Amino acid sequence: MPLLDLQDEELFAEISRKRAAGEDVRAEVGELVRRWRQPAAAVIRKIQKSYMRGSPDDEGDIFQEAVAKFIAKGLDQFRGQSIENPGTAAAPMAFFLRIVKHVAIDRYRRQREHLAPDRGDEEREEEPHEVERGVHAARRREEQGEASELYWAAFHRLEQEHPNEAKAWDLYRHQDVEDHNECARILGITVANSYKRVSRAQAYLRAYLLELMDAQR
Amino acid sequence: MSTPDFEALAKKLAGAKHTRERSAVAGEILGAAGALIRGGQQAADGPLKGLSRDDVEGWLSVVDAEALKADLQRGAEAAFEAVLAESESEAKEFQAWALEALHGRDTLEAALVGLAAWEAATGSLGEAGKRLRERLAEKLARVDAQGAALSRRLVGINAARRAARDRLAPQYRERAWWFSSRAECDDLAALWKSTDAGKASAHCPACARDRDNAKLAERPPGACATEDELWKLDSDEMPTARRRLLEKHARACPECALALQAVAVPLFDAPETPSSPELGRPTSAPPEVVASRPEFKVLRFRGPNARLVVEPAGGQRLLAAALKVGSASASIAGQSVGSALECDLKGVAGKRGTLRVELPGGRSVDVDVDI
Repeated sequence: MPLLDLQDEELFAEISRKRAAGEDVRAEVGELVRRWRQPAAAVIRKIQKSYMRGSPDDEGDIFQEAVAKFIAKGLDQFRGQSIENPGTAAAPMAFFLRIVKHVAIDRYRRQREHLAPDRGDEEREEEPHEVERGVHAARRREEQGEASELYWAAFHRLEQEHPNEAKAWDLYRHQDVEDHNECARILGITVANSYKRVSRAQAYLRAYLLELMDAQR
Repeated sequence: MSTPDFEALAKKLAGAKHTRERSAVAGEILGAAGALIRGGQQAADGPLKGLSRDDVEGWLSVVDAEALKADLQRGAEAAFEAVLAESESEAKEFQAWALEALHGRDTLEAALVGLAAWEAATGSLGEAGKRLRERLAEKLARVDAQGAALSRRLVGINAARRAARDRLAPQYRERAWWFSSRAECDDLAALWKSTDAGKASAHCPACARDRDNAKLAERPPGACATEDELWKLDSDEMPTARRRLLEKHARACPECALALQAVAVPLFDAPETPSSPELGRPTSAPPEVVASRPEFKVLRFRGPNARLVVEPAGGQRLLAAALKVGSASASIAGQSVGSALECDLKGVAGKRGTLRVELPGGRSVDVDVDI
């Protein structure tokens, strides 16, 4: 059947089949994203409006980057399940548009970060060039991102292996209930137990973090 | 070290009726000989010479290196609990369990040293035996690969580990990582209990590195959302605790507030009025947005069909909504209409209430609304 006659879902299924067979899917992917160009442009405009920046010229770049991401990762990540209505099939277009949305968000976030004055960082004064500032910001963002991912991976492990300690830690540290009387009341435990759980949670988190860092090396 | 009773072991071997039984006794003899050698003593050839190639290869075929992995992990966990124990007696109990769990790995090491001595005394393994020994070495390497991570927890029984390590002849100590790795790092045990990692002392570069890296646990990073995190947020895959913290962080960080707002942008153009036919029934005035959150917005319809409609943002799912008006104890439950939830305002219009919206992942959001 000609590609033009296929519905999006049928075309996507054909892409999945051909990819599994190691066949060339450029024509099918090209046809799909051609159909999605207009809705993608609408999403990009919404993000531009949200960030109050960007121009029609950006649309092409963002669209191309989204297509590249869709091919590189999205085709495998798409699970065919709707987030809005669990248990029902999701449209591949919605998944692609989400990629578009996030490519646009990332682009305008970076632009803002790159241009924003950072009074808190004195190193900036020694790095007046925009390129250097960009590199510096990217490195810092990457480090923060890594630290954050490590922390949350460790906390996830704590939730799995020591759920009681994780609940206490979540209250005490994440929700800022930094009062053991209040923690104990919320958790329905003694104050001594609240101290104990938070202390144990911290010890386990430290151990998990160090182990995760080992695994990354 | 007490001298093993090789005579009794030789009798046991002679009395063994089945191959499996002989293999087990062969392992004991190798282990006993190896323990002597590792302790710096000379093991007599006699007991080893009593072992045939079949006995030794039989032992090699039944050694379960995989089981040691779980034992070592259990030992490390018990050692960690010994540090966190609340009383001396509890700590001692954990210490004893931890040491016992290390016994299996140490015994196997002794048997392998005994095997080398057996080969030196009586000749080599056959081809099948050599393959078995290679496979065992590979499995053992995988078990020992977790040594660095486990040693950090084993510091909880360092006194006992040092004693066991020091009973070994110097050339056998390093290989016995379960006794020797981080055996001097008592500062690390103190770090596990410390309330402030930054104040913990560090006696060696490894302890200093661990102390610095462990600081990340002191306080969750208030870092801005990463690209990957925003995707997870949009996919409803972000851990609840992280989402809550990010929302809090966004209240002080305009960049993240903007990012959250952008993530909530719907993919498809939604009509100003709710999209389902039921929600679109005639009203006397267009709805007003009375609250807007990254996950949903609340629309108020006035007139004869006065109601609040909670509309999910793109990619979001709403589980339930309940409106509590004034000091009333009862709530008005939201009814599902398409993907939105609707609370009937008949008889309560003009008052002030709190709308609780339940979201996936056990989260709920309260918003105050003028009705």
